[in-house]
Amino acid sequence: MSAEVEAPPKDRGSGHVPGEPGLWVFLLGDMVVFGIFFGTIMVLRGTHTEEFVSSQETLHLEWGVVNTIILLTSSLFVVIGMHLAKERNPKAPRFFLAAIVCGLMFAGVKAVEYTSLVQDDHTASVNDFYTYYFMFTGIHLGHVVLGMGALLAATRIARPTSTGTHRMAALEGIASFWHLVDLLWIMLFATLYLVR
Amino acid sequence: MTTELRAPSAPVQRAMAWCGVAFCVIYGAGILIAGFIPPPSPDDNATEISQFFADNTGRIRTGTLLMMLGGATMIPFFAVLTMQMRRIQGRFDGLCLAQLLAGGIAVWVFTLPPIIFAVAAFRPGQDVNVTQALNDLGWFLFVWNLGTVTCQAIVIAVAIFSDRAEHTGDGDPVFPRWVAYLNIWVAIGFLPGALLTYFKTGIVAWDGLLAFWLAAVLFFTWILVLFWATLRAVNREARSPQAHASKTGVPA
Repeated sequence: MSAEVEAPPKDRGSGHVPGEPGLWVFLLGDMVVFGIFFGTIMVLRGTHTEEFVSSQETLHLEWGVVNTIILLTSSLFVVIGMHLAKERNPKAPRFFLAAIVCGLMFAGVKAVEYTSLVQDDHTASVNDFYTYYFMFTGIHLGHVVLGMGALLAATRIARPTSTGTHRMAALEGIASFWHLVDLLWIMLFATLYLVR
Repeated sequence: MTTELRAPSAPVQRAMAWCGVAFCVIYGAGILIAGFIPPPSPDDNATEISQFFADNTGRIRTGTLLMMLGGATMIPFFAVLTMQMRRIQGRFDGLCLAQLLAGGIAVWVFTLPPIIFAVAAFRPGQDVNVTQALNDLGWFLFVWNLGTVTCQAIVIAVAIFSDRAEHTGDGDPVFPRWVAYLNIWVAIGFLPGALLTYFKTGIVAWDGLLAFWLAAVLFFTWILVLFWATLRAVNREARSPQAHASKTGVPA
């Protein structure tokens, strides 16, 4: 995630690929892994419906909703930050910083949720639902941490003074990853908390 | 130092790169012949595991033999990969060293599991618990031993990202950047397998969709893409004007 990304964003007529084409090898690959997660959750729901539903009821739906709103807001900040960065507006970095703050809030809420579940003896070893809940949301939380590191780099790259020939490509790459983190959470939220 | 940087001849480097394909063929054939596709379930009891080894003794001995020998073909492959990585900075830097270390250890990661499986198949009729323990050990070394390869993939990705195309002579980076992104995906894609100690069934058990099937597809894709990228880099190096410069001991 450096300011000086080598490959230029390739403009092929209207078919602009955000970031650089190679980035999508990783983004689509990551979606495959999470696709397997979602499939696993749905299979578990089909085969162990009672256990699934009763365990699901112990999750804190309200915290899930809060976290969904937090991440959607963070994505909005990133979009605004991208527009300002394109115009070399000096306010651009603070929107990426706001997205990081959202990421920290998300992690904080997750920590409260995990603690509360463990205190109620709903730990990962109780049944498959909790195992997958902790595993998948934990791996997602790892993505959030990785994304916050990338956004931290973005606060520097987005400065109007920042040079580097492919400044916008680097920012687009980081923004694309953050939107993916957001999207994956929405899918996790829907399959773990909502689906009946 | 300069004379030490002289590149080996292109034909030798090409042959070393093709060793990566040889690995996929020999090692892959070994896994199939041994009957490890699909893997025996970690949920099987000691008698079932012992029966698996007793019923397939000949297959397992032949398959593991191929795997053990096939693992060694990665020695020249990782060496030529390192040689090409050194062209990124125009010198042998820390990332090259880390890649070489990881590659050297990875060869053991490939070679140890077939040895353990061969031991398990060596005395059919022995205590079933011994066979089960050896089978467990073999699969742990095979699937759980992912730290080295993960680290190696990250090192390769960082090296490719750091390429400013300053030393290749033709203005293009040594490896395409998407190969770096593939390496990051490989590193992340292997990680769920780290949880296999907690599971005897499901997607991250050692025979699971993530820990085994996705990791296996990722692994062989990774080797084949690295082969393609390395062979391409060798061919471009042979064509570049700097190839002649480096032969006379003057790096860029």
